Amino acid sequence: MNTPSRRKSSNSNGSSLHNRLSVLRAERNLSRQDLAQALGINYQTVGYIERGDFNPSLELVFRISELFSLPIEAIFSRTPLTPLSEAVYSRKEQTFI
Amino acid sequence: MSNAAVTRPSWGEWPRAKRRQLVLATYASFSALTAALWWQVNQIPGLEWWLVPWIGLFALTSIAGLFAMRVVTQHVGEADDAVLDERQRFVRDSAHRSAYYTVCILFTLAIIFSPKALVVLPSAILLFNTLPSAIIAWKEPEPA
Repeated sequence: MNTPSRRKSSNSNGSSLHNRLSVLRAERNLSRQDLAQALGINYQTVGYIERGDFNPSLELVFRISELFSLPIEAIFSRTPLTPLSEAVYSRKEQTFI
Repeated sequence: MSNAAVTRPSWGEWPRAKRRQLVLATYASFSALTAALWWQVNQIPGLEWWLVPWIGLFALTSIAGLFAMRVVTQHVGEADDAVLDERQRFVRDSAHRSAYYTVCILFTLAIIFSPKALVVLPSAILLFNTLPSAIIAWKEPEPA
């Protein structure tokens, strides 16, 4: 399933990358333009990354990670990502048990 | 990183179908201009007078189409590295590669169908096929 929170890319180089960029952006009330300016990229590139049409470079992935203060694996994954809420609450439940 | 493309107006948000219509219209106009000029140069008697306004019209629409394509693509095709982000650089480089081979094929066909220029065909084919590798060989830094 392709929801905005779990995008899968299959771009020109054949590799695939899933990401939670649109959810993180929505949580922080950031527009594509805001995020693009913070990262120093074109706002359309943000859309292409979110949609999975473009895999960002390692350098850009680090910048995104630093901007959201999250580890890279919380934002990008080579396997499909679970919804963020599910990931957080299942972790909390495990902690209580 | 400063990025001039970020602050440009979002004219590039044309849907793909509309952009393709613009490309087709521009090249149709460009083809008509080429045909009209060819006709004019070959001086078919009695046709020159009515061809002139058409040449002007096709020239204007070709220039307008060229300008519109550049605006719609936010000038990515001809911009320097400094004003582009990594995806735009990838798109530009990929477009230039496709453009290079398209031009090579068109030039080769033009040479083949022009008997006078046929003598340069082997050199042209050699140049077209070796130029990208030659540039890479020239520019690549020392191996690590």
